[in-house]
Amino acid sequence: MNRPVAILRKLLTMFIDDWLFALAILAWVFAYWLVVPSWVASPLWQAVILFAGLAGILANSVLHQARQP
Amino acid sequence: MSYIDLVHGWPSIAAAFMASLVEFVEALTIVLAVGAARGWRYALAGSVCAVIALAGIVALAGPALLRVPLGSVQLLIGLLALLFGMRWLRKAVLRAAGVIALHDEARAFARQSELLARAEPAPLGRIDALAFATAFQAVLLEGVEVVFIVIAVGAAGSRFLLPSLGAGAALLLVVALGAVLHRPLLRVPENTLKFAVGVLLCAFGAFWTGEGLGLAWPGADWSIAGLAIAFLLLALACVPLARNAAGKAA
Repeated sequence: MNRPVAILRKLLTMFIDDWLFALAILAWVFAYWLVVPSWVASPLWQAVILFAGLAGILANSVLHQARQP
Repeated sequence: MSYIDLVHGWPSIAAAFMASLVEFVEALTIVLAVGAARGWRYALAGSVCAVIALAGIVALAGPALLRVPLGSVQLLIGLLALLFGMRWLRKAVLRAAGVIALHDEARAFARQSELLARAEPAPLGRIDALAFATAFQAVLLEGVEVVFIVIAVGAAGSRFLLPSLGAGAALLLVVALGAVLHRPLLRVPENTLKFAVGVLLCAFGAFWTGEGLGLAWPGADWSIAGLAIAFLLLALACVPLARNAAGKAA
C-alpha cells in the first residue's frame, strides 16, 4: 500500500515540491492571460511580459532559497 | 524525416537526450545497487516490468493526447513543462552557487546498497519483492520523467519522433555503459546537464504556454532559441547573486 502512495507522491513532486513557487508561476500565467492580450497589442511585448514575469519569479525564488539559513 | 527536420529539431533532440541521460543515470544507480545487494534476477525483472508499464502508459496516453484540441494540449504541457523546468533550473542554480550540495551518485549507490543489504533476505525459492519493487519504482519514476520530457519538447502534436530519438540514444548509452562498467556513472556532469535541461524546458514551457494562450510568437519556432538564451543568461546571472545572498545569510 505504501509503495503506490510513494510513487504517486514522487510523481507529484516532479512538478511541485514548493507550493508557493508553483502557485506563483500559475498565478503569473493566469494574470497574463487575464490582462495582457486585451491591453497589449504587440506580440513582441506580450512575449517580453510573459518572460519577464517568469524571470522575476525564478530570480526571487532563487534568492529567497539562498537566504534560508 | 528530412535533413531540414533534423536541423530544426536539434534543440528537441538535445533537450530530450540530456534530460533522459540524467534520469537514466539515476535509475541505473538504483538498479545497480539492487543487483549488487540482492542479486540481479529481480533487479532486472523489476526494470523490465517497469519498461513494459511505461510502454503501456505511452500506448494509453499518446492516442488520448492526440484527441485533445492542440491549443489545450499546448497550454497543459506548457504549464507542466514550466513547473518542471523552473524547479530543475532553480535547483541547478542553487547547486552551481554552492547553496545546496551536488547530487552524488556514489553516495546514492552506497546508501541504497546498504539499505537493501540490511533488509531481510527473501526466503529461498520465493520472489524477492523488495528487490523487484525497488528496481520497478526507480525505473518507472525516472521513465515517467523521460516520457514527460519527450512530450514537453514535442508538444506540437506530431513532433514526438525527434525527442524520442534523443531519449532512445540516451537509454542505449546508459544501458551499454552500465552493462560494461557495472558501477554508477560518476563522471556524468549531472548538474551541468540539469542546468542546460532546466533552461531548455523553461524555454519550451514558456513557448507552449504562450502558444496555448494564443500568443503569436515573433519569429515563430525560432523564439524557442531566444527564450533559451534569455533563461540561460538569467540563470547564469542568478548564480553569483545566490552565492552572495547565501554568504550574507550565513
